[in-house]
Amino acid sequence: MEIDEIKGYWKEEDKRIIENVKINRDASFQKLRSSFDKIRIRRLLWLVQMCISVPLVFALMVFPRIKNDGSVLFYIALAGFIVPIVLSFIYYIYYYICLLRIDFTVSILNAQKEIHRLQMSDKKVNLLGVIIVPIEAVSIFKIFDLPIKHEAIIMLLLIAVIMTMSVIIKLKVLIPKEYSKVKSCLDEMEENEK
Amino acid sequence: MRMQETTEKEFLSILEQYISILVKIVNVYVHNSQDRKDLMSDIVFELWKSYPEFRGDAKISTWLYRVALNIALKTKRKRDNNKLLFVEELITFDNTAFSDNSDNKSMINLLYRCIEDLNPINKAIILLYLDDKTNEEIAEITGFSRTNVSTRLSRIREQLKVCMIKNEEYGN
Repeated sequence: MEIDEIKGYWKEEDKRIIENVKINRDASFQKLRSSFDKIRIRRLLWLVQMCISVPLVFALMVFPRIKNDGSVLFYIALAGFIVPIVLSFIYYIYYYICLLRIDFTVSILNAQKEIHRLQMSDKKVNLLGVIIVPIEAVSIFKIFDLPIKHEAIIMLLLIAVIMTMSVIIKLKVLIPKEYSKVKSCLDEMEENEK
Repeated sequence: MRMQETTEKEFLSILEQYISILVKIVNVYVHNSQDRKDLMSDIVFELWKSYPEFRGDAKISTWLYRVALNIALKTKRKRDNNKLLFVEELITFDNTAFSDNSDNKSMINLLYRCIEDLNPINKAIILLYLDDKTNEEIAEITGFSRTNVSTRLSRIREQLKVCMIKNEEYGN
Protein backbone atom coordinates (compact mmCIF):
# COMPACT_ATOMS: atom_id res chain seq x y z
CA MET A 1 0.00 0.00 0.00
CA GLU A 2 1.38 3.36 -1.04
CA ILE A 3 1.16 6.53 0.99
CA ASP A 4 -0.82 8.20 -1.83
CA GLU A 5 -3.46 5.53 -1.45
CA ILE A 6 -3.63 6.23 2.29
CA LYS A 7 -3.97 9.94 1.52
CA GLY A 8 -6.83 9.07 -0.83
CA TYR A 9 -8.70 7.32 1.97
CA TRP A 10 -8.10 10.32 4.20
CA LYS A 11 -9.54 12.68 1.57
CA GLU A 12 -12.59 10.45 1.32
CA GLU A 13 -12.98 10.62 5.09
CA ASP A 14 -13.00 14.39 4.75
CA LYS A 15 -15.87 14.30 2.27
CA ARG A 16 -17.73 11.76 4.37
CA ILE A 17 -17.53 13.88 7.52
CA ILE A 18 -18.74 17.02 5.73
CA GLU A 19 -21.59 15.06 4.15
CA ASN A 20 -22.61 13.44 7.45
CA VAL A 21 -22.57 16.74 9.31
CA LYS A 22 -24.74 18.26 6.59
CA ILE A 23 -27.20 15.34 6.58
CA ASN A 24 -27.50 15.43 10.39
CA ARG A 25 -28.08 19.15 10.41
CA ASP A 26 -30.61 19.09 7.58
CA ALA A 27 -32.59 16.32 9.27
CA SER A 28 -32.69 18.13 12.61
CA PHE A 29 -33.54 21.39 10.88
CA GLN A 30 -36.44 19.74 9.05
CA LYS A 31 -37.78 18.32 12.30
CA LEU A 32 -37.42 21.65 14.04
CA ARG A 33 -39.15 23.48 11.22
CA SER A 34 -42.15 21.17 11.20
CA SER A 35 -42.65 21.34 14.98
CA PHE A 36 -42.28 25.11 14.95
CA ASP A 37 -44.70 25.44 12.05
CA LYS A 38 -47.31 23.66 14.17
CA ILE A 39 -46.93 26.33 16.88
CA ARG A 40 -47.22 29.07 14.29
CA ILE A 41 -50.38 27.54 12.81
CA ARG A 42 -51.90 27.05 16.27
CA ARG A 43 -51.20 30.65 17.19
CA LEU A 44 -52.55 31.92 13.89
CA LEU A 45 -55.79 29.98 14.35
CA TRP A 46 -56.07 31.36 17.88
CA LEU A 47 -55.62 34.86 16.52
CA VAL A 48 -58.19 34.38 13.75
CA GLN A 49 -60.66 32.91 16.22
CA MET A 50 -60.15 35.92 18.52
CA CYS A 51 -60.59 38.31 15.61
CA ILE A 52 -63.94 36.74 14.76
CA SER A 53 -65.38 35.87 18.15
CA VAL A 54 -64.50 38.97 20.19
CA PRO A 55 -66.12 41.54 17.85
CA LEU A 56 -69.14 39.22 17.53
CA VAL A 57 -69.55 38.94 21.29
CA PHE A 58 -69.15 42.70 21.57
CA ALA A 59 -71.66 43.44 18.83
CA LEU A 60 -74.31 40.93 19.92
CA MET A 61 -73.95 40.78 23.68
CA VAL A 62 -71.92 43.62 25.13
CA PHE A 63 -72.93 46.78 23.24
CA PRO A 64 -76.72 46.20 23.31
CA ARG A 65 -76.58 45.79 27.12
CA ILE A 66 -74.37 48.77 27.86
CA LYS A 67 -76.23 51.35 29.91
CA ASN A 68 -74.58 54.69 29.64
CA ASP A 69 -75.49 56.94 32.55
CA GLY A 70 -73.11 59.64 31.34
CA SER A 71 -71.08 59.58 34.53
CA VAL A 72 -67.29 59.68 34.66
CA LEU A 73 -67.36 56.39 36.53
CA PHE A 74 -69.11 54.77 33.56
CA TYR A 75 -66.34 55.82 31.18
CA ILE A 76 -63.67 54.67 33.62
CA ALA A 77 -65.42 51.31 33.87
CA LEU A 78 -65.76 51.11 30.08
CA ALA A 79 -62.05 51.80 29.72
CA GLY A 80 -61.31 49.21 32.43
CA PHE A 81 -63.29 46.69 30.44
CA ILE A 82 -62.16 47.43 26.88
CA VAL A 83 -58.50 48.50 27.30
CA PRO A 84 -57.24 45.12 28.64
CA ILE A 85 -59.04 43.33 25.79
CA VAL A 86 -57.54 45.63 23.16
CA LEU A 87 -54.09 45.36 24.76
CA SER A 88 -54.26 41.57 24.79
CA PHE A 89 -55.23 41.70 21.09
CA ILE A 90 -52.18 43.84 20.32
CA TYR A 91 -50.01 41.54 22.37
CA TYR A 92 -51.17 38.40 20.53
CA ILE A 93 -50.48 40.07 17.18
CA TYR A 94 -47.02 41.14 18.39
CA TYR A 95 -46.38 37.65 19.71
CA TYR A 96 -47.29 36.12 16.36
CA ILE A 97 -45.01 38.56 14.52
CA CYS A 98 -42.18 37.57 16.89
CA LEU A 99 -42.86 33.92 16.12
CA LEU A 100 -42.60 34.64 12.39
CA ARG A 101 -39.35 36.50 12.91
CA ILE A 102 -37.48 33.68 14.65
CA ASP A 103 -34.77 32.53 12.31
CA PHE A 104 -33.19 29.20 13.11
CA THR A 105 -30.64 29.47 10.35
CA VAL A 106 -28.69 32.27 12.06
CA SER A 107 -27.71 30.61 15.32
CA ILE A 108 -29.21 28.04 17.63
CA LEU A 109 -28.29 30.07 20.68
CA ASN A 110 -30.20 33.09 19.37
CA ALA A 111 -33.26 30.97 18.61
CA GLN A 112 -33.12 29.46 22.10
CA LYS A 113 -32.86 32.92 23.66
CA GLU A 114 -35.74 34.22 21.54
CA ILE A 115 -37.99 31.27 22.43
CA HIS A 116 -37.19 31.67 26.11
CA ARG A 117 -38.02 35.38 25.87
CA LEU A 118 -41.36 34.66 24.18
CA GLN A 119 -42.25 32.06 26.79
CA MET A 120 -41.44 34.45 29.60
CA SER A 121 -43.48 37.27 28.07
CA ASP A 122 -46.39 34.86 27.54
CA LYS A 123 -46.26 33.91 31.21
CA LYS A 124 -46.09 37.55 32.32
CA VAL A 125 -49.09 38.51 30.17
CA ASN A 126 -51.11 35.61 31.55
CA LEU A 127 -50.26 36.60 35.11
CA LEU A 128 -51.27 40.15 34.30
CA GLY A 129 -54.56 38.70 33.06
CA VAL A 130 -55.25 37.26 36.52
CA ILE A 131 -54.58 40.63 38.12
CA ILE A 132 -56.91 42.34 35.66
CA VAL A 133 -59.84 39.93 36.26
CA PRO A 134 -61.21 41.83 39.32
CA ILE A 135 -61.03 45.15 37.42
CA GLU A 136 -62.95 43.58 34.53
CA ALA A 137 -65.53 42.17 36.92
CA VAL A 138 -66.15 45.50 38.64
CA SER A 139 -66.28 47.24 35.24
CA ILE A 140 -68.98 44.81 34.04
CA PHE A 141 -71.17 45.73 37.03
CA LYS A 142 -70.88 49.38 36.17
CA ILE A 143 -71.25 49.34 32.37
CA PHE A 144 -74.21 46.91 32.45
CA ASP A 145 -75.60 48.72 35.44
CA LEU A 146 -76.14 45.41 37.22
CA PRO A 147 -77.67 45.48 40.68
CA ILE A 148 -75.19 44.12 43.18
CA LYS A 149 -77.05 40.97 44.15
CA HIS A 150 -75.89 37.67 45.57
CA GLU A 151 -76.44 35.76 42.31
CA ALA A 152 -74.52 38.27 40.20
CA ILE A 153 -71.59 38.29 42.60
CA ILE A 154 -71.51 34.48 42.71
CA MET A 155 -71.63 34.35 38.92
CA LEU A 156 -68.74 36.79 38.59
CA LEU A 157 -66.79 35.01 41.27
CA LEU A 158 -67.24 31.75 39.39
CA ILE A 159 -66.05 33.37 36.17
CA ALA A 160 -63.03 34.75 38.02
CA VAL A 161 -62.21 31.33 39.52
CA ILE A 162 -62.47 29.61 36.15
CA MET A 163 -60.32 32.27 34.52
CA THR A 164 -57.71 32.00 37.27
CA MET A 165 -57.65 28.21 36.96
CA SER A 166 -57.30 28.38 33.20
CA VAL A 167 -54.38 30.80 33.58
CA ILE A 168 -52.69 28.51 36.11
CA ILE A 169 -53.06 25.54 33.76
CA LYS A 170 -51.71 27.66 30.94
CA LEU A 171 -48.70 28.75 33.00
CA LYS A 172 -47.87 25.35 34.42
CA VAL A 173 -48.78 23.01 31.58
CA LEU A 174 -49.72 24.53 28.24
CA ILE A 175 -46.99 27.15 27.77
CA PRO A 176 -44.10 24.84 28.77
CA LYS A 177 -45.59 22.02 26.69
CA GLU A 178 -46.04 24.19 23.60
CA TYR A 179 -42.31 24.60 23.14
CA SER A 180 -41.07 21.33 24.59
CA LYS A 181 -40.75 19.67 21.17
CA VAL A 182 -39.04 22.69 19.61
CA LYS A 183 -36.67 22.86 22.56
CA SER A 184 -35.77 19.18 22.27
CA CYS A 185 -35.13 19.67 18.53
CA LEU A 186 -32.88 22.65 19.29
CA ASP A 187 -31.01 20.63 21.92
CA GLU A 188 -30.59 17.83 19.41
CA MET A 189 -29.20 20.26 16.85
CA GLU A 190 -26.83 21.70 19.41
CA GLU A 191 -25.70 18.19 20.28
CA ASN A 192 -25.09 17.42 16.60
CA GLU A 193 -22.98 20.52 16.18
CA LYS A 194 -20.68 19.49 19.02
CA MET B 1 -24.32 44.04 18.77
CA ARG B 2 -24.32 43.91 14.96
CA MET B 3 -20.55 43.50 14.93
CA GLN B 4 -20.84 40.65 17.39
CA GLU B 5 -23.41 39.00 15.11
CA THR B 6 -21.15 39.38 12.07
CA THR B 7 -18.21 37.88 13.97
CA GLU B 8 -20.42 35.03 15.11
CA LYS B 9 -21.58 34.39 11.54
CA GLU B 10 -18.03 34.47 10.20
CA PHE B 11 -16.85 32.12 12.92
CA LEU B 12 -19.70 29.69 12.29
CA SER B 13 -19.07 29.65 8.57
CA ILE B 14 -15.36 28.92 9.19
CA LEU B 15 -16.34 26.11 11.54
CA GLU B 16 -18.70 24.69 8.97
CA GLN B 17 -16.06 24.86 6.27
CA TYR B 18 -13.34 23.21 8.34
CA ILE B 19 -15.40 20.93 10.55
CA SER B 20 -13.76 17.83 9.08
CA ILE B 21 -10.38 18.91 10.48
CA LEU B 22 -11.83 19.14 13.97
CA VAL B 23 -13.71 15.86 13.70
CA LYS B 24 -10.58 14.05 12.54
CA ILE B 25 -8.48 15.48 15.36
CA VAL B 26 -11.12 14.55 17.91
CA ASN B 27 -11.45 11.05 16.47
CA VAL B 28 -7.71 10.50 16.57
CA TYR B 29 -7.11 11.74 20.11
CA VAL B 30 -10.10 10.44 22.08
CA HIS B 31 -12.07 7.28 21.75
CA ASN B 32 -15.38 7.41 23.49
CA SER B 33 -18.29 9.52 22.42
CA GLN B 34 -18.58 11.56 25.62
CA ASP B 35 -14.88 12.47 25.53
CA ARG B 36 -15.24 13.39 21.87
CA LYS B 37 -18.08 15.77 22.64
CA ASP B 38 -16.09 17.27 25.51
CA LEU B 39 -12.97 17.70 23.43
CA MET B 40 -14.95 19.17 20.53
CA SER B 41 -16.59 21.68 22.88
CA ASP B 42 -13.21 22.60 24.38
CA ILE B 43 -11.71 23.11 20.94
CA VAL B 44 -14.62 25.20 19.65
CA PHE B 45 -14.58 27.28 22.83
CA GLU B 46 -10.84 27.89 22.52
CA LEU B 47 -11.20 28.74 18.82
CA TRP B 48 -13.97 31.20 19.64
CA LYS B 49 -11.82 32.80 22.35
CA SER B 50 -8.82 33.16 20.07
CA TYR B 51 -10.82 34.18 16.99
CA PRO B 52 -10.65 37.96 17.66
CA GLU B 53 -6.84 37.72 17.74
CA PHE B 54 -6.72 35.81 14.47
CA ARG B 55 -5.82 38.46 11.92
CA GLY B 56 -5.51 36.27 8.90
CA ASP B 57 -1.70 36.38 8.84
CA ALA B 58 -1.69 32.60 8.73
CA LYS B 59 -4.02 30.34 6.78
CA ILE B 60 -7.29 29.60 8.54
CA SER B 61 -6.54 25.88 8.52
CA THR B 62 -3.11 26.52 10.10
CA TRP B 63 -4.67 28.55 12.92
CA LEU B 64 -7.36 25.92 13.37
CA TYR B 65 -4.83 23.10 13.51
CA ARG B 66 -2.60 24.97 15.93
CA VAL B 67 -5.41 25.66 18.41
CA ALA B 68 -7.13 22.30 18.04
CA LEU B 69 -3.95 20.22 18.33
CA ASN B 70 -2.85 22.24 21.31
CA ILE B 71 -6.10 21.52 23.13
CA ALA B 72 -6.12 17.87 22.07
CA LEU B 73 -2.56 17.36 23.34
CA LYS B 74 -3.31 19.19 26.58
CA THR B 75 -6.41 17.07 27.16
CA LYS B 76 -4.47 13.92 26.43
CA ARG B 77 -1.79 14.91 28.94
CA LYS B 78 -4.40 15.79 31.56
CA ARG B 79 -6.17 12.47 31.06
CA ASP B 80 -2.87 10.59 31.26
CA ASN B 81 -1.97 12.37 34.50
CA ASN B 82 -5.30 11.47 36.03
CA LYS B 83 -4.45 7.84 35.25
CA LEU B 84 -8.09 6.98 34.87
CA LEU B 85 -8.84 4.31 32.35
CA PHE B 86 -12.36 4.35 31.07
CA VAL B 87 -13.95 1.01 30.26
CA GLU B 88 -14.79 2.24 26.78
CA GLU B 89 -11.12 2.83 26.09
CA LEU B 90 -10.50 -0.86 26.43
CA ILE B 91 -12.93 -1.55 23.65
CA THR B 92 -11.60 -1.34 20.13
CA PHE B 93 -11.73 1.94 18.29
CA ASP B 94 -15.25 3.17 17.84
CA ASN B 95 -15.89 5.37 14.87
CA THR B 96 -19.65 5.00 14.78
CA ALA B 97 -20.43 8.65 15.44
CA PHE B 98 -19.53 9.67 11.92
CA SER B 99 -19.71 6.41 10.05
CA ASP B 100 -21.66 5.39 7.01
CA ASN B 101 -21.82 2.35 4.76
CA SER B 102 -19.24 3.27 2.14
CA ASP B 103 -16.96 0.51 0.83
CA ASN B 104 -13.89 2.22 2.15
CA LYS B 105 -15.20 2.48 5.68
CA SER B 106 -13.13 -0.44 6.92
CA MET B 107 -9.99 1.03 5.34
CA ILE B 108 -10.66 4.36 7.00
CA ASN B 109 -11.23 2.61 10.34
CA LEU B 110 -8.01 0.71 9.83
CA LEU B 111 -6.22 3.97 9.08
CA TYR B 112 -7.59 5.48 12.28
CA ARG B 113 -6.43 2.43 14.21
CA CYS B 114 -2.94 2.71 12.78
CA ILE B 115 -2.78 6.41 13.59
CA GLU B 116 -3.99 5.49 17.08
CA ASP B 117 -0.81 3.44 17.60
CA LEU B 118 1.36 6.53 17.14
CA ASN B 119 2.41 8.79 19.99
CA PRO B 120 0.45 12.08 20.42
CA ILE B 121 3.06 14.25 18.66
CA ASN B 122 3.39 11.88 15.73
CA LYS B 123 -0.38 11.75 15.47
CA ALA B 124 -0.42 15.52 15.02
CA ILE B 125 2.32 15.35 12.38
CA ILE B 126 0.64 12.62 10.34
CA LEU B 127 -2.73 14.39 10.55
CA LEU B 128 -1.14 17.49 9.05
CA TYR B 129 0.74 15.48 6.45
CA LEU B 130 -2.37 13.60 5.33
CA ASP B 131 -4.12 16.93 4.95
CA ASP B 132 -1.45 17.98 2.45
CA LYS B 133 0.40 20.39 4.69
CA THR B 134 3.97 21.06 3.63
CA ASN B 135 6.88 20.29 5.94
CA GLU B 136 7.25 24.00 6.50
CA GLU B 137 3.63 24.37 7.58
CA ILE B 138 3.87 21.31 9.82
CA ALA B 139 6.96 22.79 11.44
CA GLU B 140 5.15 26.09 11.95
CA ILE B 141 2.13 24.44 13.57
CA THR B 142 3.96 21.94 15.76
CA GLY B 143 6.91 24.13 16.64
CA PHE B 144 9.49 21.57 15.48
CA SER B 145 12.31 22.33 13.09
CA ARG B 146 11.81 21.41 9.43
CA THR B 147 14.53 18.76 9.61
CA ASN B 148 12.93 17.23 12.66
CA VAL B 149 9.57 17.16 10.92
CA SER B 150 10.91 15.47 7.80
CA THR B 151 12.84 12.89 9.84
CA ARG B 152 9.81 12.10 11.93
CA LEU B 153 7.57 12.04 8.87
CA SER B 154 9.60 9.46 7.02
CA ARG B 155 9.53 7.24 10.10
CA ILE B 156 5.79 7.72 10.64
CA ARG B 157 4.99 7.09 6.97
CA GLU B 158 6.86 3.81 7.09
CA GLN B 159 5.17 2.84 10.35
CA LEU B 160 1.79 3.66 8.91
CA LYS B 161 2.39 1.72 5.71
CA VAL B 162 3.56 -1.35 7.60
CA CYS B 163 0.60 -1.16 9.96
CA MET B 164 -1.89 -0.81 7.11
CA ILE B 165 -0.41 -3.68 5.09
CA LYS B 166 -0.14 -5.94 8.13
CA ASN B 167 -3.70 -5.32 9.27
CA GLU B 168 -5.04 -5.59 5.75
CA GLU B 169 -3.40 -8.99 5.37
CA TYR B 170 -4.92 -10.18 8.61
CA GLY B 171 -8.29 -8.91 7.47
CA ASN B 172 -8.26 -6.04 10.02
